[in-house]
Amino acid sequence: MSRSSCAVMLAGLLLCSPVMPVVAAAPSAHTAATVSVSDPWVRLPPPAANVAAGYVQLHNGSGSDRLLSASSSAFAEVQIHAMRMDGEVMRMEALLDGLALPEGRTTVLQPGGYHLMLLTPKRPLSLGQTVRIRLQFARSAAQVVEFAVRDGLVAHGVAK
Amino acid sequence: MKRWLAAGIVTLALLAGCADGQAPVMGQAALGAVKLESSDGRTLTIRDLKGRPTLLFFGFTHCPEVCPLSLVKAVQIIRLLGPAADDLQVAFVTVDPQRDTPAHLRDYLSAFDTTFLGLAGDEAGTRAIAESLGVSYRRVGEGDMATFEHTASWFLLGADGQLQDVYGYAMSEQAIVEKLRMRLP
Repeated sequence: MSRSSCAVMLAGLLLCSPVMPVVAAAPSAHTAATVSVSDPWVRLPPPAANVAAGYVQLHNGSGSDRLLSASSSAFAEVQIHAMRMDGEVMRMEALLDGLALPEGRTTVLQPGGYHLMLLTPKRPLSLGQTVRIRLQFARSAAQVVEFAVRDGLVAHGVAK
Repeated sequence: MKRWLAAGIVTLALLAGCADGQAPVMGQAALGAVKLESSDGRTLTIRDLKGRPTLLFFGFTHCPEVCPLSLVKAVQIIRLLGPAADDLQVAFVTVDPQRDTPAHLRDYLSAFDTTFLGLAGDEAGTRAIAESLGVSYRRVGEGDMATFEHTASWFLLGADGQLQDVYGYAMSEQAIVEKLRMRLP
């Protein structure tokens, strides 16, 4: 091995080394868990609303996993929420530890249940646009998902 | 002397603040006693809504799902009722008066129907009105990120201002319309 190629390898090792802690902190790279994402959408909120809800189906093909967090440059903050009716009272809970994705199951974020709470849009949302939301999982690799903004409020336009 | 005067003023201010913050309005009296600012620039009580039947909801504009869906339901109810809805008014009382000003309520509600009335009181007054109608709510979190758990029913007040019926969140607009047809003149 020539001295120069040795130097290149050394330089390569040195360049690689800063990356190492990141890889070490993400053991997901070595695990088989895979989450496939389908039907991602955001309900178009009323114009003056400062919050929107995002929905998606997460199918976990193998190995237990969790949706740990979500983030988007289009919003000040994205939280994972559980909503349920307790009698006539709507109760909502931010899932700080994320949402379990059992193996072989599809976990559905949908109206009336789990949702992504999208806080303070940086720009008003409009029908037909998409917003990028990054989903961070405990084991699977993170995914940037395009959520379509849909009119989930009014089926046939506001009458009157 | 000056110091005593200042202390006295502070004490009076504190007392006034307490009296204001814990207004002794209890039960049904709250409906006629608690002043609310409306999205159309009036000051009124719930009782002042009488003269017309009113569908009343308690919610907040930072609500991602239940409130907008309930308001859409009201839009659909009005459409299904047709002319029978001419006299019906829809009012939305915010449980989050810190963020939901009357002007903000007007902007928000106009996306659904420009005739929907927004109502905002102070914290204690809102609580008193809610309790008198059996509405419960609770702030979860703080500041900009705060959200509320709340009763998600529509309340029907008759033209006489009295509570006539309660329609739960799970009821379809068709089911509510059937009930309303029996109630509305």
